[in-house]
Amino acid sequence: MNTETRQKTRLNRVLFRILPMLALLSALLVSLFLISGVQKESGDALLDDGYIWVLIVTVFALIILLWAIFDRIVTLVRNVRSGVPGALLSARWVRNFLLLSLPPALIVFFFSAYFLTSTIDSWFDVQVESALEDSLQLGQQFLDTRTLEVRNQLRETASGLSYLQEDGEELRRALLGRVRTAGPTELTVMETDGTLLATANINALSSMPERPGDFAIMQASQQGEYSAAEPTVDGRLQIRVIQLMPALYPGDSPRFLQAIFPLPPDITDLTASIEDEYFRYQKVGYLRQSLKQSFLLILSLVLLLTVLLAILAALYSARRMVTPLSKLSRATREVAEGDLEQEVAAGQRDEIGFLVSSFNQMTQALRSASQEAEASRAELQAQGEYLETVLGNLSSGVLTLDGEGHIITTNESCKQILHLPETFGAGSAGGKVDFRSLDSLAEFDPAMQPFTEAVRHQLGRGREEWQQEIKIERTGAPLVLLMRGSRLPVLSLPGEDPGYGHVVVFDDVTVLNRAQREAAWAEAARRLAHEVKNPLTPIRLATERLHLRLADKLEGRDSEILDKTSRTIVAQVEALRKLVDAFGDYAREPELNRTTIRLDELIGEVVALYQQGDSKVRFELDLAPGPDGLAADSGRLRQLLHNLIRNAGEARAEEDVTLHIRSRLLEEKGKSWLALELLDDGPGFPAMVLEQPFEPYVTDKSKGSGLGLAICRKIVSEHDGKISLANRAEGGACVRIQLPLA
Amino acid sequence: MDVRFEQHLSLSPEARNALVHGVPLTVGIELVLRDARTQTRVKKKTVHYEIRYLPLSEHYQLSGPADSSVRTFPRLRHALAELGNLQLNLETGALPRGEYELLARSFLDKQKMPPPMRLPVLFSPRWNHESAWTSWPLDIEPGA
Repeated sequence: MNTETRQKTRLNRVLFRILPMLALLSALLVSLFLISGVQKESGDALLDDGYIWVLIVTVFALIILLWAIFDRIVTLVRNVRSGVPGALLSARWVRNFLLLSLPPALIVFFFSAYFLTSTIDSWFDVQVESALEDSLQLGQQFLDTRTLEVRNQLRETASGLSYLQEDGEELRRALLGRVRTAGPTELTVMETDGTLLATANINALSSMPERPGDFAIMQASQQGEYSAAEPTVDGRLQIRVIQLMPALYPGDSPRFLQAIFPLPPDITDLTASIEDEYFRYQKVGYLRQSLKQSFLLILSLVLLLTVLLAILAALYSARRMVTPLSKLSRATREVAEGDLEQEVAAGQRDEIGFLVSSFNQMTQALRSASQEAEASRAELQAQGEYLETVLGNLSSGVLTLDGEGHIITTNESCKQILHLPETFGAGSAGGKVDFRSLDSLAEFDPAMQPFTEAVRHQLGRGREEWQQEIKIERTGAPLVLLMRGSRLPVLSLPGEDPGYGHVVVFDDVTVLNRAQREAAWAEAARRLAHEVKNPLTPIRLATERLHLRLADKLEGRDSEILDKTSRTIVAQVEALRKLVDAFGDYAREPELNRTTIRLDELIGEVVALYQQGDSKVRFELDLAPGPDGLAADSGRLRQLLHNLIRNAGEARAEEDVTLHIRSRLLEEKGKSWLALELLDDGPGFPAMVLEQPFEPYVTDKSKGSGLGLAICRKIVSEHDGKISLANRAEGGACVRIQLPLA
Repeated sequence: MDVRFEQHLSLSPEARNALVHGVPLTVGIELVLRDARTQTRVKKKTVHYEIRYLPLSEHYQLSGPADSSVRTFPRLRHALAELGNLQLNLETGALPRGEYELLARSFLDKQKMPPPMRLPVLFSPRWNHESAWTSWPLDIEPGA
């Protein structure tokens, strides 16, 4: 995780986790703050100044909460529609949480609202209110009565003072006298505009008299008097009475006489108490509706917060519960798809945490098991490869079968020896065969019948080990196999009976067999040549001497018999000598004189000899030029060609034979070969020759040694080549020779 | 700086009703002196007056800006008229030469209302007693 992603994650955590929680906390504190202050009287500076800010913070907190919840719900809906693991469970969790939490919250809200309004209404008693109003009216009545009394009193005082000069000492003394006897605490004479003329106060140290208000002066001017109970600065009540004193003489101005009458202290205290209580009751009554509205607003705020808290808690708990489950789901799917590196962070100490921990232990165990299995598989593979390599490099054919005789594996030598196609099995040594039966092998190549029968026979005997030599008769290439078999234990599932398979190992002993026979033939030929060739010359010499001594002595019929008998003996001795020479050739140890030759030229020279003579063989040559690189004994190759051409010429006794000789170059298994084919249009090889090709004395000819083809194979073998016989489909014999090129 | 502040004040029926039911109303007068060119505030002063009704004597009491200044009026209009004709002092000290603006406004201070009324009056336009700002240009000459 890079730095930018980490910062983004941290920012998201702040935005979507911490901010909503802070907002919720702020909103709750604000609610408590409002509830605690709603009944307080004004005067709390913090409450007074911060009220609007508190509301702003509340609204802001609510907006943050709503935004956070909206964002989470939108994400949840999107996840549900997208099929994110755990989203549906989260949605159900949130829905159930809300269904469970909302009804109680609503019930509490409505009951609280009802209780609060009822309680507030119960604070107000009509009788108390009426009593307070009566008390207030009583106080006002008292004040009115007292005001009326002092007003009448001032009228008398005014009439007694109206004759006094306005600025004389006599007026001041008269005022002072009235103050001391009449009851006012202050008497003042003033102009009608409020200008002070004279005053007297019961308290000699008092300050200047209080000027009446404009309203009092105006009323006194218009109505001749003014009287009212007025509150003083210190909250007490006093009665102010102003009496208009008409002008004493024409040209004089009218004057005001103002008197201030205090109320008795006990009366003042009582009226103040009545006024305060009445006013407090009035205010509370007036604020009742506002109080209800405020409480309802706050209750609504609390309800809203509760709902938001429920949603937030539901979302949080759903996420807390579902997140590890969805992680588990995702991880399980990954594990099912083969990724065993999955591990879910275990953050909770509950059942889900235990589940996560168990899952991690399971994946760890799976990883260990997988690693062990992988190691075992690798070891098995290595062993398999080793075995495959060993089997692949074995010259012996290997075939494994299950208990029911189905072929399981074969190696490369098996296919080569049995001439099976590359596609047989998996195309490689040790490859699996799709349980092909031995019968299918026989169906594929009927010549394999002895092989399959031998295997089936040995399996049926149930022996641990067995050995058998069989011969497969293949046209032109008989095959001798030495087979050995063993019983193999086969892996089985627990609870199943252990089964047994078989392994069959076989070797192509055809060459060995042939070599043994050839060695025997060569030994026989050598002994025959040695034993037979020695007496031939004395026989011939004796016959010739006998003919010479008796030829002159016999006549007529006896002489003819002698001549004929002598010629026959000589001819047969000559035939025996040739036969012995042929045996000698066959038994002779190879002493090749290899030189680089051009086969096309050699063939041309040999063919020319036949074309010059009276031969029945007609030639058609299709020879590849050269080739260069053929190191061979030209004499032995000439003998090979003579044998084959003579053999073709002897195919038909009366008719001519056309011999088609062609050569070409080919690449086989990384080696260059010269392929030579001799095709004639004769009757072809007899069956007995094809069944035992190149076998000495296997021939249908009345004449000849029966060693021609055997000598041909010997010459080809001396040159490390291959030779095979076959009959052409269109008729005639075909001899194929392959000679290696350097 | 001495400022003679004259205005015509009137209260809505809701405010008058609250007043006679014992709810004191607080009227704030806000004075702001700012530089006319840069519009930066040089000085600000807010004074508060409280009007309350006295039911026993049926008088209206106007107090403020200091607690000691208390006057009573037999009619509300007299109290409002008194409040509409004020002599205020804005202590600015010696101002540098330049062009200034004096701004003034009056408002009903809702924060001083009883707590139960604060939420309702915040959302009620009938309690919106707030005048617009009135400005006077001032030229401060050297030595003024």
